Amino acid sequence: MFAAEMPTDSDATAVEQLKALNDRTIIVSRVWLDTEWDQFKQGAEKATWTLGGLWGWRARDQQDWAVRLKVPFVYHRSDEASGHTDIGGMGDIEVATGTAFRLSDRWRTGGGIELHADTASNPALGDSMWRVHLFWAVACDVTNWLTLTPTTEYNHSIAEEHNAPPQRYIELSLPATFILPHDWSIGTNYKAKVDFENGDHWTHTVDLGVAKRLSNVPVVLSATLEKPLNGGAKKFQANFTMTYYFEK
Amino acid sequence: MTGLEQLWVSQFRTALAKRPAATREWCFPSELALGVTLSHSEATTAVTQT
Repeated sequence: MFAAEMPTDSDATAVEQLKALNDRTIIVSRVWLDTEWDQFKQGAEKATWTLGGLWGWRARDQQDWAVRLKVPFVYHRSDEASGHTDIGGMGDIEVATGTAFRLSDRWRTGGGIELHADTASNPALGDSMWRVHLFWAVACDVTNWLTLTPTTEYNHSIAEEHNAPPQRYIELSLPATFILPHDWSIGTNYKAKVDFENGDHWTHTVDLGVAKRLSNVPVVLSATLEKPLNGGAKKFQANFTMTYYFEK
Repeated sequence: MTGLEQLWVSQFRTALAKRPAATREWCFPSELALGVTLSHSEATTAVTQT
């Protein structure tokens, strides 16, 4: 929504669209479908299709509000050794609300609260817990080609089922977006996680992404590779996204 | 743009133009995103991964 305040030439629009990929202080109404395929050791696999919607609106001249809903559908294909049967169904729904403020031409801030609900149709398809997720971010356009968005997130499970261990951790991240000529951008992110339920264990993750705003159609293509530097079972994660922008 | 792309865009523009301004602001998304995420984990099953 802040993009609407920028000059209307296509260059400024493309820059805002590229920045919004990595910046939670820019609220834009959107819908999405994400397909996630996770491969595990010994052959188990999990596919998750998540339908999401974010509705944002102008609260005041310098403030936007938003609500967000994510509804996942999960299919878990078990490895043969475990003897478990394949299962599929709805996963854990997440609802969130948040706000963002434009403080000046170069500074923005925003945050919100999300509720992770234990709605999975089978315990194996969700986290078996209700969890609260708080987040806050500050964005600074350091130059016309560099934006930094330090973000703090805190997760706290409030009700666990099926003997799921409680979760309580904080994540500190520093996303950066570099705007390049010809509507290209590079996004980087460093994230540190402190797990308070695991002896204050620290894990570190880095992201590297590239995005391109096409010139002949209102589409941004982006690719991101995420790699944990220490700890955690996940070895890597790759994401490819195509975003279509409705021209108003 | 190809003919099919032009038809697709024009259909969305037509649908958008028919909506009252307030409804347009509230209900019609500005973006439609399709994403694919692939991950590899050393956990043996999805159930045991945290």
